[in-house]
Amino acid sequence: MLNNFFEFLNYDFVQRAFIAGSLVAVCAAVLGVILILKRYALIGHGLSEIAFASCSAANALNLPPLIFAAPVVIFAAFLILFISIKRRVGGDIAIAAVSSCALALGVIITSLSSGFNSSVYGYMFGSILALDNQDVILAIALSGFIILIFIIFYNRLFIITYNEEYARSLGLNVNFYQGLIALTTALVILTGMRIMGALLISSLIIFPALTARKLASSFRAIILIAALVALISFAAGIFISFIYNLPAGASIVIANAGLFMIIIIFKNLLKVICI
Amino acid sequence: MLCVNNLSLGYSGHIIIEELSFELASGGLIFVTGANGSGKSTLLRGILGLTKILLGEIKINKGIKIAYVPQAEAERTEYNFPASIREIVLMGRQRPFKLFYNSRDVQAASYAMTRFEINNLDAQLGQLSGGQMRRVLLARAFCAEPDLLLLDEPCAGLDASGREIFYDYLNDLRLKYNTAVLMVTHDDNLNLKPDKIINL
Ligand SMILES: Nc1ncnc2c1ncn2[C@@H]1O[C@H](COP(=O)(O)OP(=O)(O)OP(=O)(O)O)[C@@H](O)[C@H]1O
Ligand SMILES: [Mg+2]
Repeated sequence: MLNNFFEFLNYDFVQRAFIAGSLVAVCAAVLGVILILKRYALIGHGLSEIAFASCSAANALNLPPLIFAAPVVIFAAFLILFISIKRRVGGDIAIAAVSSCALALGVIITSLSSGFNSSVYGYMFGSILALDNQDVILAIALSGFIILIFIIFYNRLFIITYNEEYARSLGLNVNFYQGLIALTTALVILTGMRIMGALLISSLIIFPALTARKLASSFRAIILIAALVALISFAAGIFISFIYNLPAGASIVIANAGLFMIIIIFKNLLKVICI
Repeated sequence: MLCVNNLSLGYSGHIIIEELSFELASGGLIFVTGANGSGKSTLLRGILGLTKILLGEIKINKGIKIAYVPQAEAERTEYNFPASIREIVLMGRQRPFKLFYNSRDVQAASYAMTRFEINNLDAQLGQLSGGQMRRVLLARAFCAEPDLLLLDEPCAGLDASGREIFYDYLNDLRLKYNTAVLMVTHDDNLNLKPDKIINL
């Protein structure tokens, strides 16, 4: 079985999936740490629904989906961020309301036009094993850009995530960094949607950060562990999907959730043993 | 260094500080006193640009290093934040256009932590007592070697030895860096001689 898996790894389309998928998984995980600690985790979910809606609308209108969806999602990211800054309470409700409306609109537009064909199905559940070279290049470029932003602004993003007021008192331009977070979220969703699907991408943002939080007590450690968890779950997910012939995106999510459960059980066992 | 002119501050309509004027020169020391709710924290936050100025103006020399120690309550919500003490104190070394910390920054931060006798450097923020947290916030501000230091009840929660360290260290900063200090306080600080006391 393992031999078969290694043979499977030799295929071009599998290698493309590994390169693009692991890069996006790492970006989503690192971003997820910031979003979760800032209690913005819902933004990822809302944006992915909006991304799905705009892709299916583009599909119905015969426009190139990504080119149509990119400005919509980036605009929505800034709008949602603006809402959650302005109205601390109720921000999450606003996100849920706006994004589920967008999702419903997407479904209606789709059923009025072509119906649920394979490309719409692709936006929903991703098509990681059907990536072409162009997808991979796009994934490498965007993830490279995002990782570069994280490295360059690591210390600033840490302070902003920790406490915006304190960041302001240091003279940091908090709005700029918030905009940067919104932009990166939009980019991660857009790249991730092609690979993981709109319905599953937000779990790539949330799970690694949750798992890492259980294991780390410093910010640097939580970032590194989240990235590692994302890579492990990604590889495990692809492996599971190959062995049991399951959809790849969903298997990656299940691998993520499984790892999270294992860590929680292990930690609690440790507690019980120590007492 | 800091020049406040006819300053009025307040929140959504009601004014809390009215037409306040004072000047703080390099190396100077001003105490801010007053009852609970009289607007002491609001004044510091106004100087930092954290609350809107209703009227008047605040002039601060360009390019000076400002450090701020918020009142204990201010960062309560961050207590469960996954960050080590080391990481929190190092934040104090942040400057505009400085993206990465160098060895000088790490040294300054660890000097401040040693001086405040903060030992459990890898502990998480949430595991600290109130007084330990105060020492961390003070170390964070002092390691900046600031030109202007804004302190909001810096000694609240500190034990006798903590207060002694604080006053010693503050004197060193003022001698070495000519730091100007604006300090909200409720104690009679016999060890310090302010140039002025602002009673709100
Ligand atoms: N964010 C806010 N919104 C509205 N009103 C506020 C806000 N923060 C403070 N206030 C009000 O402004 C007044 C001054 O508050 P401030 O925190 O400056 O007092 P203080 O002098 O620092 O008091 P203490 O000695 O208790 O620290 C209080 O009446 C308070 O209710
Ligand atoms: Mg106060």
